[in-house]
Amino acid sequence: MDLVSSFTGLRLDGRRENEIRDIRCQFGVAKEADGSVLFEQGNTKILATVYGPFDSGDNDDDDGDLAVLEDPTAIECEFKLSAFSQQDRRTRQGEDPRSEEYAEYMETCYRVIMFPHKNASSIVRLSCQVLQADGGHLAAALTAGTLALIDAGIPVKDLIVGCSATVVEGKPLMDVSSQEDLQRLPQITVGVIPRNQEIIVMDTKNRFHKDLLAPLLDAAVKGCTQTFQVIEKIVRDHVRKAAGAMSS
Amino acid sequence: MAVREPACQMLTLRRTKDGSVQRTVRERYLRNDISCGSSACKTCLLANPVRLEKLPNVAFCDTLPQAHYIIPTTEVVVNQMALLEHPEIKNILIMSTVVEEVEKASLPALERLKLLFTNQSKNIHCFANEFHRDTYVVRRPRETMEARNLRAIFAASAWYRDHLKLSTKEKNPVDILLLTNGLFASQDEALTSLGLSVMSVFDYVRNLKTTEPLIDLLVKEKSQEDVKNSMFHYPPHLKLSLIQAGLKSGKYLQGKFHASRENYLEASVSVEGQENSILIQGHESLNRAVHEDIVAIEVFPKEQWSAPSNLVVEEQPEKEPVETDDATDETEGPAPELRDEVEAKMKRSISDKNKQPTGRVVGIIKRNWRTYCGVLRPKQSKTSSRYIFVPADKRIPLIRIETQQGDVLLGKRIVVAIDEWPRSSKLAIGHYVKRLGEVGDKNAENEVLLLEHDIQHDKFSGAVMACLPSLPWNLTPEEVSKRMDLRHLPICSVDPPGCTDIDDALHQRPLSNGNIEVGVHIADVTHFVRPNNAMDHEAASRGTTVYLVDQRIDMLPNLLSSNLCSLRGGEERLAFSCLWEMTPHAEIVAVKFTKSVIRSRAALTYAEAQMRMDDSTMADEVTVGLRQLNTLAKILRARRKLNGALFLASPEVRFNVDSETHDPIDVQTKELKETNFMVEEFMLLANISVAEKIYKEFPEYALLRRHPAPPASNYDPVVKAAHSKHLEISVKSGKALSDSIESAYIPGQPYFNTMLRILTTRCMMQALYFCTGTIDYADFQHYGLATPIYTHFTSPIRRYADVIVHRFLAAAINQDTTYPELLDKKQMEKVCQNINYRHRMAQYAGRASVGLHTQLFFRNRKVDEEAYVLFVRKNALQVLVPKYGLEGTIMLTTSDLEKNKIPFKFDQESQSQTIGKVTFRTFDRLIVQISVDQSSLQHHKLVVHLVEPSIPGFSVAPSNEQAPVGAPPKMRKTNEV
Repeated sequence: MDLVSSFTGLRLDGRRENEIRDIRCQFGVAKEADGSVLFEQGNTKILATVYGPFDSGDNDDDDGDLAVLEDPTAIECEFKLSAFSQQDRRTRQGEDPRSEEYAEYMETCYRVIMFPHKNASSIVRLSCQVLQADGGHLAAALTAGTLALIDAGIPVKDLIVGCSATVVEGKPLMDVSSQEDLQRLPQITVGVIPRNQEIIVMDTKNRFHKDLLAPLLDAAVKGCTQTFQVIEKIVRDHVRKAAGAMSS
Repeated sequence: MAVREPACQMLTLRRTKDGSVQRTVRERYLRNDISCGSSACKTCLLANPVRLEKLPNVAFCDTLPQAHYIIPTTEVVVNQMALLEHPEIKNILIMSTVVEEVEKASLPALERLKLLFTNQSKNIHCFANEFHRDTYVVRRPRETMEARNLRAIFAASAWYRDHLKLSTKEKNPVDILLLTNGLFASQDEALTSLGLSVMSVFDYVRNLKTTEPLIDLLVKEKSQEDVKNSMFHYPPHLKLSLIQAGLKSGKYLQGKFHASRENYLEASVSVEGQENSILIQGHESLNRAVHEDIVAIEVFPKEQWSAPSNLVVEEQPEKEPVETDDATDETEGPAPELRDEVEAKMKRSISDKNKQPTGRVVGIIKRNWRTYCGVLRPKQSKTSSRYIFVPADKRIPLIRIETQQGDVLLGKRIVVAIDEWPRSSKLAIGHYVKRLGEVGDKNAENEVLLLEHDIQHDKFSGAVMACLPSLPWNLTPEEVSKRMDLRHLPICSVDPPGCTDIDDALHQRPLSNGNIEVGVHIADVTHFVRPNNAMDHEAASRGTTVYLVDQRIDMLPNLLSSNLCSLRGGEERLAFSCLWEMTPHAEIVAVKFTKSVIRSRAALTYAEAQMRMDDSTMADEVTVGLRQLNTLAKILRARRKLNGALFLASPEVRFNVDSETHDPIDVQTKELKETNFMVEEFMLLANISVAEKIYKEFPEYALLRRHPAPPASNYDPVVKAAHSKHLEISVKSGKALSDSIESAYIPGQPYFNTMLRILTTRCMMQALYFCTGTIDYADFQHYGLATPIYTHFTSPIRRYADVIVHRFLAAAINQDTTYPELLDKKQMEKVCQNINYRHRMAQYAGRASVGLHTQLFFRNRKVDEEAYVLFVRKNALQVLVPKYGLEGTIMLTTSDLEKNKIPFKFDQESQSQTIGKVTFRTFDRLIVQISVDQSSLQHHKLVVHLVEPSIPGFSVAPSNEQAPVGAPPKMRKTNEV
């Protein structure tokens, strides 16, 4: 199966090479959490929830102050692939080995955009649960996490968005779907601050040659810019609505 | 305006192999930016080149005079590809639904369709109706996928027609014509309500105004005869689901079907993972499988096992009257009695000892039919349009075709495709594709052998030629600055006479520390052939240059092959050099690779180089260099021999060709000189050094060449044959084999050793290109050369493998960059598969070309020659005539012999044939008479008759005279002498 039809130039789902999937999101879906968002990029659905900031309890330690000061933007992330998110329900117990890695990527990203907590011992907990997996999980989780932080009212300097990219017969494709993911092609995911196109994290999947890196990065960053254009509007609308609700 | 709609969801349910139902949800984005591809349209975004004409097919079809585009349905694309490929059929609109269905129905058809799209001059466009907002069709509840797809094609066609009406704003907009392969009854309503023009492809083609009738190109509708039970000639094929279940349970085996060249009622099926292939005998067991099909077979219980009959049987012995009653159109192929007789004869000939697993074909997993070259057999009645087609390849069965141009096509070489082979038909049913020329005409015969070996021999396309550098080409100073300047070195090349594509040159010079620098310089083809341009794609697909006797089919355009890349004497050329520092004992101290600039001092032939070396008065740089290189080469060669390298032989001949008619006027075997070995030795060394280097740098991707050791059983014929001459051949290892062949001489039979080497060559496996990431290091070995690692680096002008290797090496030494496909195991494997296939085909084509020229050479001659027995068969002797490198068959069961009751006695154990006091064994020397049997217009064939030892009633009288030109040879009569 050709990922890009040689007849029509379209991808399997009808997108062109430089198109991302539709993005939809719904804020405040988890009422108990301080901030939450149900984020959909194509058929990849992620529920991101934020608790905090709250006291980490580290102050109780004798020399706890030091430890906390080293990390004034403490955030703890979690990435979970639900058992029901994929075609065959996962029966095997235990975590996906990549989950921890993804969580770390998220922490790295959000630390860059967060301000130091006012209370040095504060911590924020963010959890990304993949409800439906259709490729580009890390990318979607990075974007969803940013939105959840904003929904929780945690101050951020900028937005982090994620996008994945792969390359088929020399042509880079942005925003990889699960059908495209299956082919074990070179793939990268980046977390980017789109305003200055600063790449905060980069994850690679399947072995590929360094010459491919430049086109892949280019496609992924461009995908981030596209994602950002959608997200920015959503965020502005949401903040305006929230501000209106507060003032009324 | 948004170019696409919000995604809609597609739910599919699929039953998996283990029986569970899998649910998949996929997104689908419907768009409104899809171009219709018509140059008549004024509204569509014309992103891609518009390929459909503005006024298409006007007055092209008698029944549809107005302008129209053709929309073929899936069946038409799958079955009538030959029609769509015809240059006169233009303005084809393919719906993407059709592409999807073709992909499911037939991958070869899809490949051909893809190829059609790459042809820039073809007016063909694919309309992505499955992704167009207005043409996407949702599957209704309980609707079958086929019905939905058909509906989608109708809807898209109707939309397209209306779209043209709207967008062109013309009174008579371009119409569309839906081309169907048959009629679909259930959809009549949809058609009438949508008001589409529909025509069956047969009606359409019949009314076309084309230069030649295209109707013969069409595959006829499936015959309905299957219903009549009494007519069946073959057992039915099992359904695919039953086959799959059977394969899983081990009841059936899957394998590739190889028809026998010698006996049309015998074949073997090679099953993956099994050393011995499975024998299939008799027409019912063969069950309509055609050479190279993937089949499912059932292995018989051991009691029913059989052995290869050792008979040589052709499907149509020409002397037998076969067509008994043509009026009823029922005679196809050998008369049943004859076939049964042959089968019975085969059964009789089976001895218990040689029995091997035998089975029957129960079903076809994948047909690998292609088009076949051959001739029509004249028929006796004038009324019928049915003809029997005799393929040139003996492994392909006879094919029955229907044609209106039978009279024109008789005596011509034509191309035919198989359409089907129902149970009710004795023969496969096919259709005429194209005409090549007169039988016996050299050009037509050449065309046949190129087509039969799938060799691309068209002129290079404009896109390819555009990739060439412009002339005059000059060496730029910045190019020189990037390279090592070796123009001062005494480099020379040594090649066969008349060689214009010189891709290698050599030099040596003494170093101050007493060591010697040896350099091999290879044409830097990759400087000109950049990855992924049209020229690269063309070269990749051709894979190799093909050498025929009177023709060379280049892999690269002539400007590169014979000029810019050819390391001609006295001219500055770009090269890729491999430089060694060696001790005087040929031990390598260091090796270095670099891109370079060279100026060859002389382009020598083997003979010239030899003369220079032998002439002690010559002491110029080049000659001194050659002598030193020769000394080193001898040491290297001796060392290789010690390691167990095999030095085998195959008869090679050269034709001296008339410069006007290109007909061969003389033939001689190629002579090998010391200089041949010298060049070969250094090329081997370069290849090995490069293989080591690129494997080290690219352990996952490097392209190497391996030659697996053959299983010991392969050597059986040689061991047996040598045993009959009281010689032992050890096959325990390459070294043992090499040594035992080396010592196998029979006094007074100087040719014996060469024969032994020729026979041993036949036992070898094919050497193969492969990608290092795909197999274990242990399997890298090159058995023939006795080296653990090997590749091809030295002939990039004529082999694509070398081009890839050059790219790897350039990347490894940082003088060029890699590109994605180079570092993609999958892609590399694909490249390897293709070049392996092309390489094999090129070899076969080369041999076939020699065969053709041998036949032309003997056309008006009758010559007695010395020959040696290669194989002893049950009813024939296969002999080799060394002088012409010619192999022939002496049939031992002619009707004359049977009449005279002097049959040959065949001894299976000692592989010998005895008649009276004369016994024939492998290696025996004979005198044979070679001539061409022109008695049949259809088939000119080379025949070999025994002259000596003389056997009354069988051997022919010696004749050293040339038969008078034009007189028909009287072979049959000489038999009666």
